[in-house]
Amino acid sequence: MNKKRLIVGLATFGAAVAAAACSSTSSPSNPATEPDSGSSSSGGGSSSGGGSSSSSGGGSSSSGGGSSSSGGVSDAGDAGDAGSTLYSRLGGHAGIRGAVDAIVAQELMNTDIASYFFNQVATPVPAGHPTAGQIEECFTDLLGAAAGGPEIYPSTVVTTDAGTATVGDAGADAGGFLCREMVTIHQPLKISGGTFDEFIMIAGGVLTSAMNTGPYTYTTADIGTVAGVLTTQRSAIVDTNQADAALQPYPGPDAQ
Amino acid sequence: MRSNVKRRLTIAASVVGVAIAAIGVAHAPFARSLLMSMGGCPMAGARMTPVESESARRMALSAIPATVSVPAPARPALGFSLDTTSPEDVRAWAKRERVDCKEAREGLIKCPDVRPEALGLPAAQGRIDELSLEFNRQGRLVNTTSYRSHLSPASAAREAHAIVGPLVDKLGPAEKHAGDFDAAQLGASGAASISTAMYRFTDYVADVTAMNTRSNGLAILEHYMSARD
Repeated sequence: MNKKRLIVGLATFGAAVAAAACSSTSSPSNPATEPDSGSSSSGGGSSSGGGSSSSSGGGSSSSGGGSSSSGGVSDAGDAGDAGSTLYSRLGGHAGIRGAVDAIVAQELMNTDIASYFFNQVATPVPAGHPTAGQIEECFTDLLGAAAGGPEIYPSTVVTTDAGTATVGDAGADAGGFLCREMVTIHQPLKISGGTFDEFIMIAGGVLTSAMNTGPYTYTTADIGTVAGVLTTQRSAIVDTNQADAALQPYPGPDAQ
Repeated sequence: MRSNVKRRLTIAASVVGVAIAAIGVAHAPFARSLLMSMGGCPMAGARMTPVESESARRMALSAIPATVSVPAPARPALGFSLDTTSPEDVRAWAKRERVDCKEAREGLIKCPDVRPEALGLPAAQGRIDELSLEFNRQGRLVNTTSYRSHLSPASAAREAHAIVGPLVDKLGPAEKHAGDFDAAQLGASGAASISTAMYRFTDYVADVTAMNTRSNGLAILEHYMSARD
């Protein structure tokens, strides 16, 4: 009888601990399964095509523009045409979105970096997670706000048949995804300093190679300014325990 | 007879109970470091499979379509053959060249500290810190990356020229490029240090980028990818 109780007790305890531990890798409250989460009112759609269509109406945005969570750097390091702004040299909202789309595409070609976008490359994108297009629009708003544009970050982005845009850009009604603060987004991903550097390197390569093409009149100094915006976010993006770690793919939710 | 079955059931139940308890305890916060030292939870972090990787590759290619509507005249890929080389080929190569490669996950092999000569490449290209080889669902190589870091400006310039020169010979001038990979530029800081050469063909993507980075010092990233379906 005692033996039976011991077995039953042991099994119950084991199941309870295992359930608790496993629930920490599957419950919505666990950051490991919500690495890119924001609040999505409609599941965010599934943009398996990459959601890379640029939003129309460059420069339009929600009202009250100009505030930026990352601090405006609109013309720091300005080396462009006299009278132009960093925002205009980046081609306004549409130009920034085009650059962001190209950066994300280039990042997705990298095996290690792509592993951090596991939700975005899944088909369909799991409910509650942003699509690639929504992330691109959030990133566009972040950079637009930092470049002195009328964008506000965090913003709410929506996906329609025409693409993904900031609320107010396209009058879309498909439900929105609220872009989140850098810490909230990236903390669960346990991003290393080396991984962050490689992301910057790839983005820098794309921006540098696109200089003086299409709508872009930005300069190397402007790229430095944009890189500076990203670098100021480093402490919010890179995991403290991984700050000195080398480039690595997404280490998984159990990484320390 | 009946008591024998009962005994066996009891033993089985206790084994299952102990196993569940052990798994549960291993996942508890105080035992996480022990779990990680044993390689981590096999059920965690295995999100990227060849299916997701393929999806990422297609998304990237559809976002940046080839502006040159011709196939590449050659498709160099660090000594391997895109759409042909298999994981078995890589394992055989690694054994032959005594390179310590590991299967990072299904469809991805990573090899640290690779001599360029092991890949049939000129020694001037310098040692590769990490070589990544990614395979599609059919087990064919579709994506290769090499990464060199903590280089001096002089060695970075020498190695970058040794990489880019043969590419230009085989593929022609890069479709997009910036900087000229010289030591003075590479020795600058941040964005001012960037040199890059990018190729896009209907069946092939190649990029070489060098930059002075914060954590990894002066680094060179090489990337060769199949754009065939």
